[in-house]
Amino acid sequence: MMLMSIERIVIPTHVRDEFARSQHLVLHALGSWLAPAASTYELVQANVRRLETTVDDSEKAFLGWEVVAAAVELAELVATLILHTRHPLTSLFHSADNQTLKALFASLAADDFSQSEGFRFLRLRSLRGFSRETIRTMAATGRVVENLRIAVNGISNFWLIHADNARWFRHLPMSLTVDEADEISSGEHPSHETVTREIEATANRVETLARMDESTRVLEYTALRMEDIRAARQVAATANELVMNWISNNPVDGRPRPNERWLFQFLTHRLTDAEKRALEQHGHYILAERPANTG
Amino acid sequence: MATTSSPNAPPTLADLRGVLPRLYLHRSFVRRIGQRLNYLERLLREHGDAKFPVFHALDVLYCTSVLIEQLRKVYELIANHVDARFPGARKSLDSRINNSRPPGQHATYQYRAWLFPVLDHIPDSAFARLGFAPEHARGLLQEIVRRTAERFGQEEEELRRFAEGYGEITAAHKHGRAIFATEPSVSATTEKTVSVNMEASTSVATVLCSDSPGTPPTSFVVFRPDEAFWDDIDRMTAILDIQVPRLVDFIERFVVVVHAAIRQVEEGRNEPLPTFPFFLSGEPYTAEEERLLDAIRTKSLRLFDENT
Repeated sequence: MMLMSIERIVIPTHVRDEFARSQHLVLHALGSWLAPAASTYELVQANVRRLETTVDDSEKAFLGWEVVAAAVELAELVATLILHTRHPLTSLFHSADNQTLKALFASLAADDFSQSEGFRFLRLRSLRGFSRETIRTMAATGRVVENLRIAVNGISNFWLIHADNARWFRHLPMSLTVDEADEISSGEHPSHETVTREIEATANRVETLARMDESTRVLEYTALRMEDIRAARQVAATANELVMNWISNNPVDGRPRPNERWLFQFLTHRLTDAEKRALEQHGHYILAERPANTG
Repeated sequence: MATTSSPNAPPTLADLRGVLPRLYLHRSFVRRIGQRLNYLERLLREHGDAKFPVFHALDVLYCTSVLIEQLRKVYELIANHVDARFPGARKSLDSRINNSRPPGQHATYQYRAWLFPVLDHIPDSAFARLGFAPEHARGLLQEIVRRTAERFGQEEEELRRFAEGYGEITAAHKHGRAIFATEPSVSATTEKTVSVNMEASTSVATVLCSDSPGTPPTSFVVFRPDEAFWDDIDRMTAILDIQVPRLVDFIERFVVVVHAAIRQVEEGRNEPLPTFPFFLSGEPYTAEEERLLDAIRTKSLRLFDENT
């Protein structure tokens, strides 16, 4: 007999109402995302390592798509945090469906993530006064937010390119090889030669596949390249750091020093040593080389 | 696949070529399923080294659930002739696999998924060529097929129950990791009221279930990867270990048969095709059944010949 290791706990109505009023539950829940984010990133790293050593092309392609799909999922954690920061009262609980995500990432890819939003997202400190240190620190803070905007933009573009690929891979990974597509179409479509030339010119292909849409009689060709896999690993790393940085800087239960503000490495990338010193000494930020929780 | 229709006459070249697009798509699908099964086995081997055991267990659960979903989609594609070249048909698969089936359709589902009805069209001469009395051999084969379909049907039911039982957890995991490292507990504060406490946890993960999007949860679903969970995973992998490789071989051999048939028709030859691909799991077999199956394995079983 099959046993289920799950337990359902019904929430009493008055407790439910309290959740809605206090936001306590959602902050606690989002604050617990350290483990799922780090675990997903760990899986990405393990799959990349495996991919780099395997000599089996089909396994390489499988692992490549798996890395892409995991990066898409990590990007969706970032989306939920942005939605929560924008609408803490109306986006109480995770509910981002694909349409919401698509609209959000499209706007973020078009740079709809302002300096002030970035500032709020990371809960950065506002400094008062016009001393040289304050001005230097605020300028460095501006560059931190710019790095955040670049990261959010990159994550958004990646999601827009690969969300459908991830969905295809997870749910119905059917495709034709280029040879099979040629055999079926008998080279009859007018762009056949152009497509063939483009495929051959695409470097570092791990897999090239064709997907069919019989209703439009279209064969859509997709190449998974090593560059896509590297981009996925980079997006996964950035999204993981971003989630951890958000959690570290937001008021979540159990944090020993709630007034601490952390800046992980992706935010201080390309800053000068002087700027980093200003952030540490005058802004009282803690600059982390890497998230402590990733082990 | 088109070959599931009653083969009253040998297929034409156009029939055979018409089968190829869907056959190639099915082949790519089952190959990926085979790779996912290998991947699941790797995740299971690595579980002891995981830094986040609960979330690694969730990866195992999710991978198992994806395998089950994909395997059941292959059944559906073949049993109900779903043409996944059309976007609407592709989309319908998500719900079709979970819909209940009318009793008549349910009873024949595994027969259709494994193309057993084609066996009814094997001519007497094919059995005679194997050295068996046709009626007797047909009876033996029907009994093996009945046991096989019954076994696969029961296993499919187990796969479906697993997918439903863990459905909320896997859905939350795949939709933006909406599952949290926290453990809720309910305790009575007064005679009539209770309080709910949430504690960070490294041993359980919790999904918040709401009646509608964006509203406070009405319940927590707590996932605890205990012994019972790993027993469930063991049972699912035991079923998948048997069914997935068979399904991969089944489709691979179908491609070989269709390619061979195309060559024969193009060259105007009528020689035995490779053995018609069908896979049985009616163990235990009687000595007579074994003798028939051995003969089928080692000699060609022709669906069509000049006497048909």
